[in-house]
Amino acid sequence: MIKRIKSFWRVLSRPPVHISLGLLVIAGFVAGIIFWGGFNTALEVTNTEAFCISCHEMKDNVFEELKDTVHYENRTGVRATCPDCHVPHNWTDKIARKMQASKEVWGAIFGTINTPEKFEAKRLELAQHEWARFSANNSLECRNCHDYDSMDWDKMGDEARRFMKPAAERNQSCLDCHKGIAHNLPKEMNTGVDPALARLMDQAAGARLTTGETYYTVTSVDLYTDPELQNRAGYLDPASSVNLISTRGDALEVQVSGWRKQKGFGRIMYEGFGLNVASAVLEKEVATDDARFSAGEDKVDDLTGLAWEQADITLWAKKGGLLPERDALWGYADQTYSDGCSVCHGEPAPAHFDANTWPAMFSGMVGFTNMNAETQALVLKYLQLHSSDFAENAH
Amino acid sequence: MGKQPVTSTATDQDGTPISKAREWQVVLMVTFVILPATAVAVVGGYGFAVWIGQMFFGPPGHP
Ligand code: HEC
Ligand code: HEC
Ligand code: HEC
Ligand code: HEC
Ligand code: HEC
Repeated sequence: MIKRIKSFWRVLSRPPVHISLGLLVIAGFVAGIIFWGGFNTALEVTNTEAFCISCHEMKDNVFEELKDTVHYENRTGVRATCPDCHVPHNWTDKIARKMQASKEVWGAIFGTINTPEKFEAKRLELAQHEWARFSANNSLECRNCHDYDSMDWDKMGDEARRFMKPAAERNQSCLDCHKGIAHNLPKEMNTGVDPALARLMDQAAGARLTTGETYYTVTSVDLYTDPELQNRAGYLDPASSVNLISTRGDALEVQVSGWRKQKGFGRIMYEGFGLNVASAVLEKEVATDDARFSAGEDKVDDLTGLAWEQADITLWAKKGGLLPERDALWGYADQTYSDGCSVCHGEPAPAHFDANTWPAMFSGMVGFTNMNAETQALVLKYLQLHSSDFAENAH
Repeated sequence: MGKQPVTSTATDQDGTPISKAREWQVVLMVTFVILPATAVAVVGGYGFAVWIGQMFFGPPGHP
C-alpha cells in the first residue's frame, strides 16, 4: 500500500512525460465543470420535496398533515415545499443544515422515529429544534414569501389585523403566534397539559404523607364535607397550603387556614390579611355555616375599610394532589411565566407590582398566551406571592 | 524531489520508466476521484464546523 502511494506520488510530482500540458489543462477544466454541476445538482435534488418524502419517516407523518393545509393547496396555486420552510437559503447555513441531516440519516438507519408512536413521542423535541431555529432567524424562511411591508392591513381579517399590525411594528417572529401552521402540534400542546406539570402531578400522586405536616396543592383540588367524598364543599386553588389532620382510606382530612372578608358570604379564603390571593373557594352552604369555622382574630383593612377575620376550616379531599413543598411548583410557574409573557415585551419582575395589582394586570394579558386555566391560576398565584408585598422576605 | 534533473526518461522507484498508461491512470484518478472527494470533504467539514459552532453560539440569527 505504502509502496503504491509512493509510486503514485512519484508520477504526480513530476512533469508529465507522455501527456501534453494542454490535455492536462483540458482534463482539469472538464473535471471542474462536471464537479460543479454535479455538486449543485446534488444540492438541488436533496432540496426537493420528493427527496424529503423518500423517507417514510417524513412522508407518513408530516407530509400527510401538510397536505391539508393552505401551504399545499390554495386558490393562488403557490406552494411551499419542505425545503422552502426548513432549509436555509444562504449558502453557509444551507451546507451546515445538510451536514446536520447526517443526524436524520442516522435516525433513519436506527429508526428513531420509524413508527407513529415513536414519532409522536419525539415530536415535541423535534418541533422545539425548529422553533429555536425560527426564533433565532426571526422566521426568515417564512419571510422569503411573506413580508410585513407588503401586507395590506385593510384587507386582513379583524383578528389578523389586531395582532399582525403591532407584530409588524415589533418585527416579530411569525412562529411566536403561528406555531403548527404546517403540521399538527405535538400532543403535549394539544391536551393543554404541560409535560412539566404532568410530572409534578405524578409526583403528587405518589407522595408519602405524614399527618400533622403542611402540604401544597399542585392543581386545584376538590373539597368535601364528608370522608366518603360525596358532598362538595368547594375547591382549593393551585399551590395552596393545607395541614394534614388524618387519613381515612382514599380520603384526607385537611385543615385550610386563611382570612375571609366579613362581607357577602365569605366564600373565598385568602392567603393573608388584606391580600387578594385566594387559597380556597367554598360552596355557599359551607361558607355560611359558621359552626364549621374556628374563627380567630378580626382586623379592619384601612385601605379598603373592609373587616377581615382569620378562620380555619377542616374538610376532606381525595388523596393524590398534594406535594410537601412548593419550590418545584414555583420553578414551573416561573418558567411558564417567562416563556409565555416575554413573547411581546420583557416580562415584568414579579416584584414589580403588589399582590393586589397582579390579578388585573395578569388577566388583561393572559389571553395572549396559550396557558390553560389551571396553569393560569398557578402562575398568578406565583406572581402574587412573589410580588412586592413579599419581596423583602424572599422565598 | 525537485533536485533531480527533469529528463524525459523519468523512471519509477525501481528504475522502470513511467509508462503512458500509468501516467493517465494517475491523472484521471486525481482529477476525477481524489480532488472531488477532497472538495466534498472540505465543504462537508466546513458544514460540520458551522453546525458545531451553532451548538455553542445558537442557531443562525439576524445580525
Ligand atoms: C434518510 C431519511 C430522511 C430524509 C431523506 C429526510 N429526513 Fe427529515 N428526518 C428523518 C429522521 C429519521 C428524523 C428524526 C431525527 C432524530 O431522531 O433526531 C428527521 C427529522 C427532521 C426534522 C426535525 C428537525 C430536527 O432538527 O430535529 C425536520 C425539520 C426534517 N427532518 C425535515 C426534512 C426535510 C426538509 C427533508 C428534505 C430536504 C428531510 N427531512 C429529509 C429522516 C429523513
Ligand atoms: C413558498 C412560499 C411560502 C412560504 C415559505 C411560507 N408561506 Fe405562508 N403562505 C404562502 C401562500 C402562497 C399562502 C396562501 C395564500 C392564499 O391564500 O392563496 C400562505 C398562507 C399563509 C397563512 C394564512 C393561513 C390561512 O389559513 O389563510 C399564514 C398564517 C402563513 N402562510 C404563515 C406562514 C408561516 C408562519 C411560514 C413560515 C413557517 C410561511 N407561511 C411560509 C406562501 C408561503
Ligand atoms: C403577535 C402574533 C402574530 C405574529 C407575530 C404574526 N402573526 Fe400572522 N396572524 C396573527 C393572528 C392572531 C392572525 C389571525 C388568525 C389566524 O388566521 O390564525 C394572523 C393571520 C395571519 C395571516 C392571514 C391573514 C388573513 O387575513 O387571514 C397571514 C398570512 C399571517 N398571519 C402571516 C404572518 C407572517 C408571515 C408573520 C411573520 C412575518 C406573522 N403572521 C406574524 C398573529 C400573528
Ligand atoms: C409552511 C412552512 C412549512 C412547510 C411547507 C413544511 N414545514 Fe415542517 N415545520 C414547519 C414548522 C413551523 C415546524 C415547527 C413545528 C410546528 O410549529 O408545527 C415544522 C416542524 C417539522 C418537523 C418536526 C416535527 C413536528 O411535527 O413538529 C418535521 C419532521 C418537519 N417539519 C418536516 C417537514 C417535511 C418533511 C415537510 C414537507 C413534506 C415540511 N416539514 C413542510 C413549517 C413547515
Ligand atoms: C401578544 C403580545 C403580548 C403578550 C403575549 C403579553 N403582552 Fe403584556 N403587553 C402587550 C402590549 C402590546 C402592551 C402595551 C399595551 C397595553 O397596555 O395594552 C403590554 C403591556 C403589559 C403590561 C404593562 C401594562 C401597564 O399598564 O403597565 C404588563 C404588566 C404586561 N403587559 C404583562 C404581561 C404578562 C404578565 C403577560 C403574560 C401573561 C403578558 N404581558 C403577555 C402585549 C403582550
